Amino acid sequence: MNNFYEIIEKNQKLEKPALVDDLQSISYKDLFVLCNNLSSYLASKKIRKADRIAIFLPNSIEFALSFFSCLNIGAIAVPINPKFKKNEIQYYINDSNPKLIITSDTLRTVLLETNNKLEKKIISLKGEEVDLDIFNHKYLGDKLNINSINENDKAIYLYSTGSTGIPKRVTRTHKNLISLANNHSETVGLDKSEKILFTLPISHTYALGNFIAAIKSAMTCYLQGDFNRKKVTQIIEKEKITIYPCVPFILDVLAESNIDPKSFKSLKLLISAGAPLSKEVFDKFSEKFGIHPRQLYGSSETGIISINLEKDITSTLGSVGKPVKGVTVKIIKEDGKDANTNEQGEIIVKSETMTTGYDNLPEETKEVFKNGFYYTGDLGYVDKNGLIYINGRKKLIINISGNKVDPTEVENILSSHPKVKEAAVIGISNQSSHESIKAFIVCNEKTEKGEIIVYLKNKIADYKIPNIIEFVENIPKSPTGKILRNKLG
Amino acid sequence: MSEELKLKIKEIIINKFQLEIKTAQFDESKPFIEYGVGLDSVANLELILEIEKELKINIDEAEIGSEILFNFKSLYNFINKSI
Repeated sequence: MNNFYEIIEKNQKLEKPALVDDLQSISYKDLFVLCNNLSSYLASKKIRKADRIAIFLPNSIEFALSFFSCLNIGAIAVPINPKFKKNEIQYYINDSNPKLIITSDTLRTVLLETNNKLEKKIISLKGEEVDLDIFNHKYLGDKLNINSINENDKAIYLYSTGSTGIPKRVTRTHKNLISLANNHSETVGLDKSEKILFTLPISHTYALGNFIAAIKSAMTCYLQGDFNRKKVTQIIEKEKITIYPCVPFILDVLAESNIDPKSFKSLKLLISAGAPLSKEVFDKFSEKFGIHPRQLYGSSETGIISINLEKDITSTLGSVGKPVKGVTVKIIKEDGKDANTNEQGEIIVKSETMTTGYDNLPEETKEVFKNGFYYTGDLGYVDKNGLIYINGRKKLIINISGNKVDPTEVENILSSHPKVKEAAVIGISNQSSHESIKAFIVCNEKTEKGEIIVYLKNKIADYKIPNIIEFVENIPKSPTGKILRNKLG
Repeated sequence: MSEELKLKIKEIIINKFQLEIKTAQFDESKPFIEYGVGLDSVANLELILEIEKELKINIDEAEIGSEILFNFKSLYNFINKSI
């Protein structure tokens, strides 16, 4: 099958729930009908092939319907994290220039505070005063011209956190997404009997890959906007969830919390990605719940790269596994030559699921997309069994429980504060290997920490705000003016 | 008990957020945001876990909204009621 329209059309014959969120549950038949309804509505709004539609919603049935409807009519879906603040929203809107923004009543206010000129583009599908009651909206009758969509047409814009202060736009095509869904579901052996819970945003590459693979496999997807221990435990226990994609922080929190291990007995596959899983968290979780987390590796540029499905998980727990179907992974040494087994180098990836470059950034593209491979910037090795191990990264990125933060972006905003002369930002790890952000600030005049935080809070997402701020006399730098981050700590 | 509890919570917060103050200097009315506390869901959950562990209580993070994490007083009142 070449597109998600055909996949959902095929799955509609199964009488089973497709999507379940806090408010309702819809079957695969409903999913097919509602996507057609919304697609026809979007078409009636003169949305055409390659027009962008921003989706500013948390995990919800409305998000899923919007996403698949964009794909149906050949529009490009642009998911925007609902936790973003004014400056960030403005950046993504300016960069993608959407013809329409699908959101909720509550988030409409956030968008209008960002830019009141957006009003004409906004459609609320969620809340008390929706613009379109999608669940009661009748199909307008225009048959979708699904044949007009080519597999190489653009399907979605994702953004990759760089180390230049600006997120880089990554376009993934219909073929990229279909290959991702096929390869992941075949590698893992997904089938329609599985039930998967999402508390991580399906707008991000990690959960998105798992989500589209789940839909392809006709699984039931439970969508939660946020992670809440009590709710997660209740859903897993009551609904007998079998698969749960997590980040190590969530595993740590669950292992440390007062939860009856029996509540998780239905879980068969617990995926950990977004950040390295430490042995400490792996052991704590495995011991308490009797199930071993499995590391998965991926990126916005490539989608899912590998997953550890080894039988002997205890001796390979540090590995992100073998490449999923259709993905080639190589390790390249600094001199550009292929590394031998167990030899350290940069991880490079080639697959049908990956993008071919960053939009409008030829220099950055040339740097990391070479000879059909994507140079991930992650350092690691492959052992004699073909298992990939990651043990470092070349890029300047801080990983806050799976949320990637570009220190340069935070430094730029800090330096725009009138009392700040300069700033440097680094990631620091705690005993469970979770990173948090620390800022070193040189001020022009006496400044309170609170002043800086209030300033940042209005400009960037909360997870990007440094937890620790230290006022210093100067920032260590190289003769060329580069911040010497290894001298900070 | 209440002074002991207050002291304990202050210690947890000071350690967790590496605040460069002593417990006696902790301004109970000062908004947490000015201390860099309660900024994001990850840090909040870490703080809740720490409080649960140290005080041997269970907290539903859904109940810990911005009004609870407004300042020390509001957090203390909430915890005191949970015990």
